[in-house]
Amino acid sequence: MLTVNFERLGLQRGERLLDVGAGGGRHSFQAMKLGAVTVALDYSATDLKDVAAVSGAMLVEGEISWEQYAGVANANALDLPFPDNSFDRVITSEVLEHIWDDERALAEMIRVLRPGGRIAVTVPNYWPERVNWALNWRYHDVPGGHVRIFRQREIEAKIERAGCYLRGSHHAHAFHSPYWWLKNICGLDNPNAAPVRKYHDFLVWCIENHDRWPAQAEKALNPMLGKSFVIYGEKVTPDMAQYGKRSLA
Amino acid sequence: MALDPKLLEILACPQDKGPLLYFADENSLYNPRLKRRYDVKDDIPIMLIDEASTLDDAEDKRLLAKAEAEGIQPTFS
Repeated sequence: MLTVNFERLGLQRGERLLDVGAGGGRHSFQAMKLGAVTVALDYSATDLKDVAAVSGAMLVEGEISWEQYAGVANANALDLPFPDNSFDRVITSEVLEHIWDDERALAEMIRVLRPGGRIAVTVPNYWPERVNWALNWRYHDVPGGHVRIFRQREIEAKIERAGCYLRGSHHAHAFHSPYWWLKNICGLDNPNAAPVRKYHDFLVWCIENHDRWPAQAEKALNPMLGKSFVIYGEKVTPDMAQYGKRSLA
Repeated sequence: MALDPKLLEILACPQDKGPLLYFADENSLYNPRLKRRYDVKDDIPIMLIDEASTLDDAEDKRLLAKAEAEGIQPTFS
């Protein structure tokens, strides 16, 4: 289940990719399969252990080769442990809504991205997220939870200010919005409630039958109902940056 | 298992973004400019500023001498 479209990210084989807030590692795994030299970064060392273990299994199975697996790094998005311009592509999926100083995190990600390189940023889509906050305050008001709801224009403006051209956007995971609404109605500590369980089974069935009608239906519903909003940015080159006052710092 | 060279060649101090000295046998990465050391636990480099330790002059000297003796180069230049 991928949120980012790797074609729109422009990923080529052999390019260096950083996954900030890799979590379970779904985007890192796909990047490695597509031939990117991938670094999975997260604030949680526990998540990274799992990512490293799954990567190891993929290496053994021959799904990826050593050329793709660079490793994992336990770090804070506000202080990335890399020099300037060290990656061709950056992905940060469902991360910025957790960070108070989201502009500093974005500035760091753009700093380590090379000029002309692309970043994919995904955040929860405005109105399905608004409904989640209204249904159940525990959905966001927990340690490490969501601290804000992005308007489309807000996240786009922040990516621009960090020194990027906007290179398009789309929505993803329409079928996930009702799932979270159901969870919030039934109680987040009640994952075995019948509606939640049944809908979860439906989602699993959709993933297993991704080549059939559910994928097409979800695609059609994404613009309206998408759980996630995905934006692509391209870091401006220094010779272009000098024409504006926009800071690349 | 040692850290992968593909990671090491771009691994920097999160504080000053400069290169580090990697001591594989001690499971640590050292920034000689700030005298800050980052641990590597279970093959995962802990690149968190708050988790790094500041070394005293004696330990700093020991690590620099060791890097010189063993030919350990900075992660990048």
